[in-house]
Amino acid sequence: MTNKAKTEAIIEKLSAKAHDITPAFPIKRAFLGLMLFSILYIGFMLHFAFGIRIDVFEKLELTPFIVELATTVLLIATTLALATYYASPRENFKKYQILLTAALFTFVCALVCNTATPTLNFNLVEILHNTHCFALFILFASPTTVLGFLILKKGATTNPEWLGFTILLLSASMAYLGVRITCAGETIDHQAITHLMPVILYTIMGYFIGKKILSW
Amino acid sequence: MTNNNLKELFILANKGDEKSYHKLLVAITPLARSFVAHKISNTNQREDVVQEILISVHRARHTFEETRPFKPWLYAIFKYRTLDYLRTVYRNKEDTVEDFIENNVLDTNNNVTKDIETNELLNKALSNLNETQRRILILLKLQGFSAAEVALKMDMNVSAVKVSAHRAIQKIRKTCK
Repeated sequence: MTNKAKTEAIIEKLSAKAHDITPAFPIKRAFLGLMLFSILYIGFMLHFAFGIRIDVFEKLELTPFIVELATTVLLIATTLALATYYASPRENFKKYQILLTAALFTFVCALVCNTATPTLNFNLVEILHNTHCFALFILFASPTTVLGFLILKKGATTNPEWLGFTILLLSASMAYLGVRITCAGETIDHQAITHLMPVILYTIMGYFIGKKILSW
Repeated sequence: MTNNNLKELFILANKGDEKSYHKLLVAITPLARSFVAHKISNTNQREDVVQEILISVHRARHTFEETRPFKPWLYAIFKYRTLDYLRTVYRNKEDTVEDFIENNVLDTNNNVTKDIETNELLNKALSNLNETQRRILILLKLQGFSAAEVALKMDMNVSAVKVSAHRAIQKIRKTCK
């Protein structure tokens, strides 16, 4: 059979399966549901397990803190919109879309660095031993990550790497919010290493995980 | 067939209409071939990718929203599958320069320089190449060095030699058409 004849045979086989179509998965609704679940989950954990930082009301009177939280929420909204849009076959991610998410996160980092307390005795080993914030981050981010990937597998993305990056940035941003509301550590080394660095590493990991999991 | 015609056929196909689905697949096959031809010159490999594309369109049918235009959705799949195939080829190094030349260019057992016209055409094709490409082709095909040996001689890496040879052959084919 020539190769063109094989193509024609494939067309015949596929035509016969016209009725055999997977039901359309409501990706937008699923993602909204995921956001609601994540908010409730993190809220539940904060309220019943870890508690909110004792100085939260004082912090909420400070403009930089409010701007930091608002920017994180904006980052979450942006990544959610991108994940929903690119879940089905689309043109490539635009550079400005990736730069926008990076810019929002960079702005959050800048705000944190600007308002954090300087460290008197920097001790990396001590910081890394304080695994509480790392554990919180993973606890808050994991369910959103797993459910996010399950939703995206129902689609057929043509941008698996950047979509993996986006969904993990979404999960990491939600986890960052949760950690920020529960952890009162304000020194710059603590913030940079246990709050911000996990977001960066998690997101980069998403690029490679997306390539593996979301390719079809 | 216009974008709207294709979209109408696709919507009918998604409702289970076999005839519309068949018409659609027949209509998009030449579009797929034309798209893939820009990236893959080997006709057999091209047809393999076209087949993969048709299967991918079938698998991704449920993701199409009727409010969207059809062709961008379709071409996103064309691009995804084609690049996926090319990545596999480069990763597995399936396509060595020697295989590529054998499958795509002249039959090197023929004495193509017998014919003066062909000789002139070849000379013209070679003169269109830059110095590096010309030297690589001469070393590879006339003097019989391997890609690794050429890379050593020219102080380049092996994949750069292969890519350069591939581009040189593409240029020669365009000139000889």
